[in-house]
Order: sequence, then C-alpha cells, then structure tokens
Amino acid sequence: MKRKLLRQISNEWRANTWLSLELLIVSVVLWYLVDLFYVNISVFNEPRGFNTENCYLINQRELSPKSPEYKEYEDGGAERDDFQKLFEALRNRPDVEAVEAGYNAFFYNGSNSGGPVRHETLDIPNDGRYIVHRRVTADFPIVFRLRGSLGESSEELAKILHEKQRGCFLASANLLGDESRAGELRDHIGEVFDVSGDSLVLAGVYQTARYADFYPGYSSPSIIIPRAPRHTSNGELVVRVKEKMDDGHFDELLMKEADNYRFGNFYIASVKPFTEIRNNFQRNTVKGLTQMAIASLFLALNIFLGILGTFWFRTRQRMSEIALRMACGASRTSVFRRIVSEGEVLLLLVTPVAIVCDWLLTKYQMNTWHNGGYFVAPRFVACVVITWALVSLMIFLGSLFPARRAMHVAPAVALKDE
Amino acid sequence: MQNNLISRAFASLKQQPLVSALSLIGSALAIFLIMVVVMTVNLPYSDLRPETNKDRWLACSYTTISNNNWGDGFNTSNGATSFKTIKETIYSLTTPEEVTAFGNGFTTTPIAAAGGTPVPVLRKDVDDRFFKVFDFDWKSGEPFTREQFDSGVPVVVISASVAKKLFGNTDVTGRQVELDHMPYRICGVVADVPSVSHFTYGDVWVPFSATTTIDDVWNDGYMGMLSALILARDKADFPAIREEYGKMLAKYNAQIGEAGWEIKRMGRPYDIEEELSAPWANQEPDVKALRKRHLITYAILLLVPAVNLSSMTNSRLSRRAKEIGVRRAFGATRFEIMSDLFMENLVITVAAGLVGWLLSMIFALLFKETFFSATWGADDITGVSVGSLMQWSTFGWALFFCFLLNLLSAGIPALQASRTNIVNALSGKK
Repeated sequence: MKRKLLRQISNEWRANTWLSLELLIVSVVLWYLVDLFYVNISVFNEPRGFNTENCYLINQRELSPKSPEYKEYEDGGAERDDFQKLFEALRNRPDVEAVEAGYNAFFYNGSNSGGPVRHETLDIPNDGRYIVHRRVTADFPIVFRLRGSLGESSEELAKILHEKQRGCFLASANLLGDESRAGELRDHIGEVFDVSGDSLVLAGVYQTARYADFYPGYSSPSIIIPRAPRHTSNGELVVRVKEKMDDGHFDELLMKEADNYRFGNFYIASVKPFTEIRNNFQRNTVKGLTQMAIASLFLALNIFLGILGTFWFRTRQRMSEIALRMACGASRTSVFRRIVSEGEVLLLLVTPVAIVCDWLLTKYQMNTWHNGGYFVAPRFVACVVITWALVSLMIFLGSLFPARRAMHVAPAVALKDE
Repeated sequence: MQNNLISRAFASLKQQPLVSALSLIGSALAIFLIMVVVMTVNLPYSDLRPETNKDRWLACSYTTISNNNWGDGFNTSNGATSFKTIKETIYSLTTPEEVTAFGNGFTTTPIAAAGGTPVPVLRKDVDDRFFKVFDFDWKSGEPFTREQFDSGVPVVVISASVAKKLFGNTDVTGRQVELDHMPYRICGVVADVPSVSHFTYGDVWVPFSATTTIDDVWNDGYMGMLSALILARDKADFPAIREEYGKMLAKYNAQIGEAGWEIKRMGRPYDIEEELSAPWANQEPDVKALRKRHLITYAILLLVPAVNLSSMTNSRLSRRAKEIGVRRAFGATRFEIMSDLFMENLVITVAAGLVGWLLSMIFALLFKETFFSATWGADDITGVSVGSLMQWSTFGWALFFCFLLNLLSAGIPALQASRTNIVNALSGKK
C-alpha cells in the first residue's frame, strides 16, 4: 500500500512538485510565525511582577505664571507644602488605598530613564540590558503590588522605603542577569552601589517587575530609588483605589471633584485608568500580532485551497482507477485513506527540508529572540510540531471533500465506458 | 481577436467552475492581504491633511547629547530638545522653505467655555511657523502671528469637534475659553486632525511661549520638550540643508563644548522614511532593514498563492493536454497557446484583484480603528477615513500585484503547456 502510494506520488511528480514547494514555503513561514507567537505568548504569561488593576494615573499640573490665578511663592517650602497638601488630600480619600508621586516611573510609560549600576565585586551585566531607574515615593510598591524576592509583602517593601528614605535603593531580582542570582544579590543588602554616579545602599530585592506585558523578565532589570513627595515637571501621581470601592469610574468622579484638589498652583489636569494607558502603550504590538495572526490564517487557507483544487482534479482524473480498485474489493475507507494520505505523505517528505530551513533561520538569528536565545531545543521542537500539526490539519481538511467524493463512486457507473 | 480571446477564456473557466472559483478565492485573498499590508505600510508616508508634502520633510524629533564627564557605557542622553538649541541649530537655517518647533508630545488638560463644564483635551504646544509648514483646514479664523508668539499672548487654535462641544458650532473665533485655568482667546478653528498625524495630532494648539514648556529643560538647558521639522523647497535641497545644519551644529557644539557638552548628530535631520525607521532616539535609522522587511513580506504573500495557483493551473492543463495538441496540430503557434492560457488566468486575476481590492476596502472600513490608527503615543483613536486610504496609488498597487501574481502563477505552466510535443499531447502523454 505504502509503496504503491509512493509510486503514485512519483508518477504525478510535476503537480506534486508544485504542491511540495508550497508545503515547504508555508511550513517554513508558518514555523516563523508559530515561533513568534510562542515567544510572545510565553512572555505575556510570565509573571508580570506588578499589578495595575484599580490604578489610575493623575496628571497634576501647575498654573502658568501668566495665569491671573498664579500664586507667587516666596520660597520653595511653601510650594512644597501646597504639593504635599494635594498629595495628602488624595491619600486621605476614603476610596484610595495608596498614592505615589514618581518621575517617569509608572508602568507602561515607555520611559527608559536609567543607567548603569555598579558594584566593587559583583558582576552586573549592563550590555544590552537597560536598567530602568524608577524614582518614586515610598508607597510605590503598594500602588503597583510589588513583592519582595523572598515573598515579602508590598507593605514591607514600602516600609523599607519609608524608613530608609534617601540614600538607598531596591533592586529587581534579575539585576544580576538571572533571577537565580537573586540570593547572591540579597547577600549584598546593606552595601554601597554606584547608581549612575551616586553612591546608594541596597536596601532590598523585589520580584522582577517587567517593563510591560510583551517584554521578558530577563530584559527588564530595574531599581527603585525613593524620593520625597515633591512635584515634578511631568506631574505624575498614581493612586490605587480600594478594590471594593472601584466601580471603574474613579477617573470621572475625581475630575468632577477636581476643584477640591486645587492647592496653590497645583491642579489636576486629567485622570486615566491604567487599562487605557496599558492599551495605548501596547497598541502597536497588539496590532502587529493581529496582522501576523491574519497572515497565518491566510497561509493555512492557501494550503486548504491548494490541496482542495489539486486533489479535486486528481480524483476526477482517477475516477476509473478508483472504481476499478473498488470493484476489486477495496473498501470505501481505504479509498478515502489513500487520497488523504497522499497529501500527508507529501508533507512528511518536505518536513525534514523545512526543519533544516527553520534551523537555518535560527542559526542566522532571523527568528524571534527569547530568554535563551534564537535556538532553544524544546521551543524549536514544540514549534516544529505545532506547525506540522497545523499544516497537516489543513491538508486533511483540503483533501476531505475530494476524498469523500471518491469514496462514494459507484464502480458500475464509473466503469461503464470501459 | 481580443474579444474572441476573452470569450474563450470565459468559456474555459465556466467548464471548471470549482477550480475557477478556488483560483479566484485564492488570488482575491492574496490581493486582499497585500492591499491591507500596503495600506498599513503606506499610510504614514501618505499626504493626509494637515500633514502634506511629506516628501519635503526633514525631521529632528529628538536630540542626542553627551558630556565628557559621563565616561564610557551609557554615555548619551536622548530626548526632546530645548528652545535654545532649536533656535541655534534649526531656526537659523536659511536654505529651507520653512522650519517649525513644537511640543514632542501633547498634554491632556481641561478646557471650558465661560461658566461651562471643563472638557479634557489634548494640548499641542507649537510656534507660529507650525501653521505654515502644516496644511490645516481652517473652518474659521486664522493662525496666531509671529508677534503674538514672540510676546507669549494666550491665544488658541481649536479643533472643530472641541468648538462644537464647548459652543455648539465652529464659528467661535474671538471667544474666550479657560485652558489650564488660564483665559485664552480663540484665534481660529480647524478641521479635526486624525490621530495618525504624527506631528500635528491634538485637539487644541497653543503658542508654547504662552506655556511653561519653554522652561521645562534639562541637561543645562540644552534638552527640553520640543521637536523640530524642516520643510525643504525641493527634495533636491536635502544635501544642502543637511550641510547647513551640520555647520550650525558644529558652531553650537563649539559653544556648549566649553562645559563638556556635545550634541551627537546621529544622521539627523531625517527624511520621512528614516524618521519612520528610527523608533528610538538613541538609534540611527535603518532604512535598508525596513525595506528588506517589507520586500520579504510582499514576496511571501505573493509567492505562496502564486505557487498554489500554479499547482492548480498545472492540474487543469494536464486535463487539457489533448485540446492543446489538437490546436497545435491545426496550426496554432506556441505564442497563441501561451497567450490564450495567459489571458484565461488574467481574467481570473483581474476579477480576483477587484474582489480583493473591494474586500480590503470593506476590511479597512470595519477595522480602521485597529489597523489604521495612531501608533504608540496617541491617547485617543481617531482612525483615518476610508476615503483617505482609497488613493489611486493604492489601486495602482492592486493592479500591479494582480499582474505579478498572474505572471508568476500562469506564466510557467503556460510555457510548459505550449512546449508539449503534439504527438504526446494527442496521445495523452505528458
């Protein structure tokens, strides 16, 4: 049976060459796309290390000196007091759990404010890994639900920042390149590090907080540097609303009450839920992935159409041959199996070549990079299997219609001319 | 003769409805997908009011600066520019037709009519030249003047939709609004700007001299919150403008170098293609990589359906070997056979091209918010109108891809069929 099938395939070599070529191209391109999705889905499902549910970004601004309402401050202290009043007023709201005032620090803001972190004895990889510096007030870990690398609560991390205040910093567990070195990093708590030219003491280590949903933990090292609640030019305030009291309209509510939050020159310009900030930040990535998904669907559809068209012809051409085989005792199932197998055998024949092409793509680093690199054996095998299964399914679906037609051939009718 | 050829092609297609339909669907899908890709890729390059004359643009969205004291490693600072730096390096250029400076991003801020409820809007900080470089559609009023800009007069240009929200109509030039808790006078109303407009998108445009944007500086005042755009008289002036910019920058660097500062050029100013292929301020654009990526995408999207169609055409031709043999025996030349087969496939691909083009337009209409919206950075999604996507160039691309697909899928099988030996063809051998 198998030998006959191979003979039949070789007899139709011309049409089968086209089909094999198509299967090869689609297998390779589809593998690339499967690999891309595999990486993105894996990254997306990695622990994020932070939580933005029930969080809102408040854009606080200052009146222009040209405004008739502008307040001239005699010294910086009075200005700081006004900002402190705004900060406290927000913190004291019954529906607010915590507030932080950062500088380019909130998640999904796209900022790369950062620099190198150095230590006398520790080897901290700085090449290609940008260490983001988040300059924030003490409650930042509570607002974004960060946790310590040993499972310490957000409150405990916030307490460290409250107590130590200036001159210290917290580091993410992956600062040394890999989370497995978090213990080594913890051993250096209390020691002085060079943080972009400043000498700061490492006060704690927190679980890796990724840059955003589609950025892997490995390339998201960060540090948290505490600062006093003072106003900044970018006017960044983030509040975490108590879960039970957040009906999803805190932004509208606060904007309605915005006049109550005017202290000196400070006022609230806008309030945005983090769902919106997250969507805006990731819109391009999601758009790109959607386009890739459509492209994958297109390739799969092409296989389906190609197999359907080619096999439709073949079954018509071989009608008398199929009828003869049935007259000689072949069952309808074996006829069906023979037609479906033809496409699947072609796929099996091109798969080794496709695997070599896939491997070449990884060798020349043309696929997607993920934690371990371009070629990681388990990922490679998984993507090859998924791709093969997808193409195989399309071949099965494409040959289903012609095969069903063939198995319902009436031998007497088909052979009447003979 | 030509009519005869077309009617023969139609008759032949009617004989095999399923395969003709499959070929048509396959090609239509290919054209559809390529069209969507072309529209997505081309949109940022297309002229869409107020962003027109893009081929004459040279952009300086960001500046890269370093200091001698920073040492090795992370030794540059990248971001928007200060007004001081723009004045010295961009405003001083004489070769371009016009130059403009504007806020690198936008600010969400409340705006209210007197006694009205505040509405959050996106405020874009601009100079007076901004309205000369960009082609806004003025509904009423006019841009603020150089004198108003220089003296920081609080005037504002608002979009039609903001005008309607605040006052119910667009004829509101001269009215007062409260913006950032400060009174502004409306000097003009313009048509809404689509969010894909990279440099101009916003709801209201104010002179940045009236705001605190100018004072928001860093790195000793050399970096700030502004970007700049140069409008050349002609694309041919680009080398001269770049040379002049280089001179201005060298002069400026000599001034700021006393304190160890140096602005790195990084190939700036960028033309539109370079600007779109430089997503990060600290990386030089890689136009070749972008072009290569586009070419590979087009090639795959064309190659797969072409091979697919070739496979089907091949199967179809093997059924018609006898017919080809008879025609050859009666004196038909290879060229005639080839043109017949070619025409047959052309009918399919042209029909598929039309269907694919139509499908892509329906798709654009249904998913314009997702596929043709702003890139990262815009707070809101204001998709472009499908009208702006339906440009003649897009239709031209559709036709071109139809032809290419036809050439790829029908050309080779048609050539093979025409070369078949008459005796073999008549006896059914391949």
